[in-house]
Amino acid sequence: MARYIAGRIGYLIITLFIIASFTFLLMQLLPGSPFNSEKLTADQIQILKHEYNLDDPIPIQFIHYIGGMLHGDFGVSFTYDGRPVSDLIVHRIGPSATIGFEAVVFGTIVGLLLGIIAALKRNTYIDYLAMFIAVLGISIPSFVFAGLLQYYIGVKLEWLPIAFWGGFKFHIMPAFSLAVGVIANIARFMRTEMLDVLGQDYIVTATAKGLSKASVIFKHSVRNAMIPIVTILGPMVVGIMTGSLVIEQIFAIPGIGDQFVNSITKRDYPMIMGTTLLFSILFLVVILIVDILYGVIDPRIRLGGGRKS
Amino acid sequence: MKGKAKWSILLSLLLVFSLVLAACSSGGSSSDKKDNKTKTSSNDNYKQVMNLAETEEIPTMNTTIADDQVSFIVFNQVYEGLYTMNEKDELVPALAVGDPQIEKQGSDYVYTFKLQPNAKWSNGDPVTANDFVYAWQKVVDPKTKGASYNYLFPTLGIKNAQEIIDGKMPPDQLGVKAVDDHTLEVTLTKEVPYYKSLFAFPTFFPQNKKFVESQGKNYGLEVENCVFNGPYVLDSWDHNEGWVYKKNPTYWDKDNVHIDQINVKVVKDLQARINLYMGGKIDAVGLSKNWVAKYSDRDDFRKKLGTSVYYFKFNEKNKYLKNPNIRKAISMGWDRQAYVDKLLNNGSVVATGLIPGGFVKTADGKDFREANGDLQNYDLEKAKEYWQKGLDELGVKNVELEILAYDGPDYKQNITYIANQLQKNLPGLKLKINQQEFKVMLDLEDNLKYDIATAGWGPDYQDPMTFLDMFTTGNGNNQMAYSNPEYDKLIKEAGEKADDPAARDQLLLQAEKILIQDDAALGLMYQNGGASLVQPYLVNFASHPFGPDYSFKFMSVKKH
Repeated sequence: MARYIAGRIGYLIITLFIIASFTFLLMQLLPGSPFNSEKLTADQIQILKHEYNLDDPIPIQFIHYIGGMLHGDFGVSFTYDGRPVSDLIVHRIGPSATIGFEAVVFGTIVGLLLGIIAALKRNTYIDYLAMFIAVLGISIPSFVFAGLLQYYIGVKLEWLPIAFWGGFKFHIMPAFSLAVGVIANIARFMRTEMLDVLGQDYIVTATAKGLSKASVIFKHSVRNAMIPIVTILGPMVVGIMTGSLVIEQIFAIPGIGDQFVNSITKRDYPMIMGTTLLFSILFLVVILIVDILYGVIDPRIRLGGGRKS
Repeated sequence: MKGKAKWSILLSLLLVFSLVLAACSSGGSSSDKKDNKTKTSSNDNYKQVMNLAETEEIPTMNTTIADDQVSFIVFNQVYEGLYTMNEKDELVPALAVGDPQIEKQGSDYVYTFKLQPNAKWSNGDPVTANDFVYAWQKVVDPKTKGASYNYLFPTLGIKNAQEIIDGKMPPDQLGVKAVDDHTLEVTLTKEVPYYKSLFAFPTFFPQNKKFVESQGKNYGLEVENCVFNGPYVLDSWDHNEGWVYKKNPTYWDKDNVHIDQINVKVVKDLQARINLYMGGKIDAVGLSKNWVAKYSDRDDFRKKLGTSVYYFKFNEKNKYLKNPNIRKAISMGWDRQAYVDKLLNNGSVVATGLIPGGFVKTADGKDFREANGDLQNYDLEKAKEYWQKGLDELGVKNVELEILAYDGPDYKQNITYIANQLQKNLPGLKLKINQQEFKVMLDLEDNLKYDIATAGWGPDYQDPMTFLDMFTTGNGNNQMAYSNPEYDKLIKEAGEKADDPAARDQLLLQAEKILIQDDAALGLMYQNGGASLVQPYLVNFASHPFGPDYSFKFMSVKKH
């Protein structure tokens, strides 16, 4: 197991390097430069390019970047004068990760429950209701929910703050808006998987053995239905916790969501690299964790082709 | 075994969350203390507190390199220069005491300013003439990275500014000198009628040399790395979340500052800003056209004409656009009034000249726009005539052109409207729309890789020159290969002639006529307007026609 994980981490580093190289190259191929402006003269742009080593050939620039990165230096943002990219990311990831985490926890729990209930009460009005909620959740974009919540609960009823960032009550509406999609996805998957599992012979056997209904559902069905859920949950967690541009803008949350988009339109090269690497690292780590978890959930899945264990 | 199974599911879920969280939660969330701040505008307790929303985080706190509107607004509250703009949009003395003494020395004009003796930086240091010298030398120093507004120094005619920017002279040769702590001497190569509006611009603000140098690379990054000399100080600054201004207790004119505290939040979404306004959390909100119809009947609805002008740039490297008749036909061939009324619908008006209306007056007190009349208008008959003439001259029947436009909300609809009108009105014209991000647009314009581009310009100082000098041959902003020696001559003469304002006006009026009417180098679109909702208890809350948008010093809050 340890050897397997060490090997995977090795691959992870290689993958990261490849992602970094490709992003670096693609970014330089974007038309326009970070210093295009109506006011700067060609000479001034040249000085700026020199200052940030952008006048070197791309391979040299890349070596500089990787060199800096190994020392924990991700460069300074071009958009926010003199501010280190690592500071910007560290400062902004907190709010994004917080509401993202709340959304994922809430969304997963509700989604699992809805899915399980829908499967158990298949073709009853409970099932239809649960799936109706799921379809709504998938087809209505989160910013519509966010806008409705903000207007009715924030402005009209004044139950919760309209926007801004602060204590827990400021998290409720944004986290809920994000959770809607999670609930919908998880519920649909869980229902399908549960139905599949419930039709298996071993469930019939378990029931025939006289096991209690609860035991059949929780020990035999849910556990087996979880594997596909874990697969989709991993990438979903990364996507949600790295922030949502729209939700963060609607609720004025000082998160990192907008940087994934704005750093590109502003050609803020160090910030593009920073956000891309952040996302890649999280993604790769989560995939690794998910793979390890398969073994925990289903001991039949063996990792690394080990003979013992 | 079975007991373990249930736990392992829970455990595995927990593991996913905790690991991911551990990987990225070093930022930590903000505390609850901000709840109080957002509640300050409740109805019964009336305080001198204003709550606003801004659309962007502050990009920089360094006056020498800033080039964006948000930074300039902040600077205008927390820093101060020689002059400032009051609630009536008049330029009034700030750090300068009254008007300067102007003396002719050889071919130069020496402006001697007396400075406020009581002006202090927020760390207790006095604001001295040397602080101006230090900041100004930094702006023109070619080694200063990103001093994008340094061209204002040669525009103002400060001695040796251009030579220093070009690297031909050291920065200490700049025509600015500290005679003593409170006497600043500025040497100009010409007498400049609009000097006060430039000295009110943040690029001309002073900097505390000792403090700035002690901070090194960290200068301006956080509140504790800044030192202020304006009516307000930045009390807190949560990046990307907002900032708080508090009245500056060391400000020399603090008795005339009324508002104690201004809370600003960064809210990028317009719908959210409107909701916050409706919920009483912010006191003013700008509106886009979609909201105007809905709110125009409200008492707190306001419309105001701005001073930015939008137009088409015609790239004269293009074989068709080289022909002045083709340019004239395109600039006259679409209905601007309908465009402004139906598509923009936000208080914008049709632009009939490059210099906006209500911006600057001629020496005899007339509005410059009125003095020069309408230089371009929608005239279908004439447009068709010019079009046919142009086609005959070129010997072609069909003309295919591309319009380069910004890739933002509403832009597609707006530009499609114009393109459709032109294609309908000018037979044989085919227009393709190319929408691009701002940076890409600028790149294409720099390299003259476009046919027609949408562009706009807001004035830097109160003089027609801020618009007109862009289109001289070879100017960095003339990215359309426009060149007319007569125009160049007029602009050059107007730049030198300052002693006779009436004669100078004539030159500028004529230059505008050549550029817009005779040459149709630009196809005018509109002069911007802005609609907003503003709480009636804000006194003097209005934006300035140029320079930084607001001066909170002259505002106050009424009982409400």
